[in-house]
Amino acid sequence: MNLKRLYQNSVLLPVLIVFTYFCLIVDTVKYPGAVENHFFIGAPVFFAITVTLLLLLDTDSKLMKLVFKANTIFLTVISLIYIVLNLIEGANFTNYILNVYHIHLDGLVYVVIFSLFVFLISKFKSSFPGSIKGLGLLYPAIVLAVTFFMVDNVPYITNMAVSRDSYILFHLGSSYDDRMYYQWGIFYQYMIFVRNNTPTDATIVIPPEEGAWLMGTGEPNFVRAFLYPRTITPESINIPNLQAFGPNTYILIAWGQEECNPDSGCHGWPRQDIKVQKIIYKDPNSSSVIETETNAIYKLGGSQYVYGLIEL
Amino acid sequence: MILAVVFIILIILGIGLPVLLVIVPKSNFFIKVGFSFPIGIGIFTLMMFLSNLLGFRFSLLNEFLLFLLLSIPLIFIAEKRIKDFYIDSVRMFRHSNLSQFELTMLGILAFLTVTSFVNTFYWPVHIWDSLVLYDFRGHVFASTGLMSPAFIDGYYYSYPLLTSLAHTIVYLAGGKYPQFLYSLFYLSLGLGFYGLLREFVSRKTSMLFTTLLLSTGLIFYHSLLSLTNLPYSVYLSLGAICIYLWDKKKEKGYLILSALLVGLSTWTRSTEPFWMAILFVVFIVSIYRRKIWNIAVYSLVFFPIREVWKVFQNSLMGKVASTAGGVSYAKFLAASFDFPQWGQIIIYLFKNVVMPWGAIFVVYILVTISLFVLKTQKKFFLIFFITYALLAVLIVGTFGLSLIEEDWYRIGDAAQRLSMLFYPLFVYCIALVL
Repeated sequence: MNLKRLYQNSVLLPVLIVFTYFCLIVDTVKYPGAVENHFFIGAPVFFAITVTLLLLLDTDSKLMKLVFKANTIFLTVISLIYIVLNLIEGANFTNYILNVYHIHLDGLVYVVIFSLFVFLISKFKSSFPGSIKGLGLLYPAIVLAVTFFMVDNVPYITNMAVSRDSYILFHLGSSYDDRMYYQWGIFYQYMIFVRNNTPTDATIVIPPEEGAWLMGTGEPNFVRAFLYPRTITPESINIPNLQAFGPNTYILIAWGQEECNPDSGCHGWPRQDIKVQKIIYKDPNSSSVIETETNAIYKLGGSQYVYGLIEL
Repeated sequence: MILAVVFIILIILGIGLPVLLVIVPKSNFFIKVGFSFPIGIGIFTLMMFLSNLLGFRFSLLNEFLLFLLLSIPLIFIAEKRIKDFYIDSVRMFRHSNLSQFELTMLGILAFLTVTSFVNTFYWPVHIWDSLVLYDFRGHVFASTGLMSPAFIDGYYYSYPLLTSLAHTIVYLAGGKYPQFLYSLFYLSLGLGFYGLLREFVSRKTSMLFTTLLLSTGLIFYHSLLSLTNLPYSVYLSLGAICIYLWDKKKEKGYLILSALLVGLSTWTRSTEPFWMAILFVVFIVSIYRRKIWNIAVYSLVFFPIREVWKVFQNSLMGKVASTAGGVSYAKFLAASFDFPQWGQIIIYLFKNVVMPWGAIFVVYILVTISLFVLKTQKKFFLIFFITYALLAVLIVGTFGLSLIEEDWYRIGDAAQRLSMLFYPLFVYCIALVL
């Protein structure tokens, strides 16, 4: 028996395909990277090696034909499962599938893409040259590296595309504000609240760009993006001269989003007592007003969520 | 929103396409169509900027009149070529018998592009940098009709206005979701890259490598966001490849097209010095080919585009223009021998640029080796030279940044985003060699 016949009758490639599927499924059920954590070589590495060997080696054997046929059926089934699971997630919430079915969609996508790659190779293998004259071992090395690059990118963008499309499909009717709320959460609600309760020519006094307010209410450019054309005036932790503010000035009451270390009690601004015309408190669950006080004295509350506006 | 989309299509068909038909009439269909949007929107936003400086407020009527003013003469000049282009296009599509493999690639490309558009038509601008700067300026321009109210402090004129003015067009036309412009850049990258590759390799190979490029995670991700990195990468990388076509095809149109694209890259992001590498290559090629006047041709197109913003920016800052951005030559020279500093830069670039590039950089190195192994591949030397010149600028530019910015090593994410422009060049080199 010559070497070619020996290779054709061997089960090297079918075993490698099955083994790769096994590794990818372990990653899907346990967590992405589980195989790498236990066996030092990640499932995507086996993915890339198998695809490269399929591209470069002869696959013209009866067993391989059978494997390709089985893979085609598997591709149809696994793609359907993947799409349906993504649609279910899109209809519910992020990580719904992981919570309910304990399946990692970012792992499952590797199974789908591996199956797709095997299918494409079975169909179009003749389109890829097995070697390039003069390049010698450089060519397999190039093919392996290109495959690695694709294994790095294709599952990532596929998952991104399918999950995002699924979400959009089930939220087509949402408004501009709903979409912005999805991206920026309560911060966006708060900005809407401020916009609804201040005139466009108002001056808005914001907390300092530090501590609990570093990346949110204390960042003047960020706040300005939502409240323009209002004038944004940053202040320090303790506002030194409240009398300096003219009419039509509003001070944010901002609890602050960032965690503050080591002083966990840094939340809440302004921190001083202020005699005010009006205090408007925001409903924690919407952009509506929950309570209004007139001719009152503002005092920093205890350890509670407080967002609102002070009209001087 | 429909009016905004129609306006953008008008810019593509009324400005971008005629310009391409005049500059590179012999180029293939995909180059013309693919470059129409970047060229059209680039030129139009530049004219919007200039007209506003002349006292014309931003308004839908004014922008439409500006469009007519630009497009009517262009269409008039390119009238015959437009007709020929239409006839050739119909003929090409009628006779394009795509193989199963090509149809599969086309399907993948269509899925990616449609997904990008679905997302960008759905989501409002939400990414931080865009909200606070690029889109903010677009909003203010559209709501006030003026530029000055947006330039509150230096931060607001730290970047040029291409993307902000493109957003302005959308807002003036009543749109709320300008992010589809970035899907158009993505589509343009695909079509333009395919067209540039198609000049040298088969349809099948071009499609395969265009799929490889568009399925790059970072590029696809940026097609969903309103940041300037993707437009910048499109302008600069395609402009760089045009230099290769100019030399190989011996058509000056590609040189002018490159100057336009690289010029418009500085109208998108002005701080990065990558344009210097292209200018350097043009200089070397012109001398090597003994056609020195080509440097003048390139400069005549490139520098006016670049200087328009630079002069304006400097007038706002009250400073004299300086490319070095605050580093004296003496300091630069002295620091050049600071080897520990170079070590830090190499580690920084390896961590934030080479590692995220991943295996494609390894492939690029391998095909560079093949350039020396196979004598037949010597003809590709120029495109590799261009890419290495840009890589050199990346290294030297990072070194320069390390002299200006104390916290330069903390902005690894920005370096990664910036290095996106190398993907098209790497893939182009690989496709040519294979």
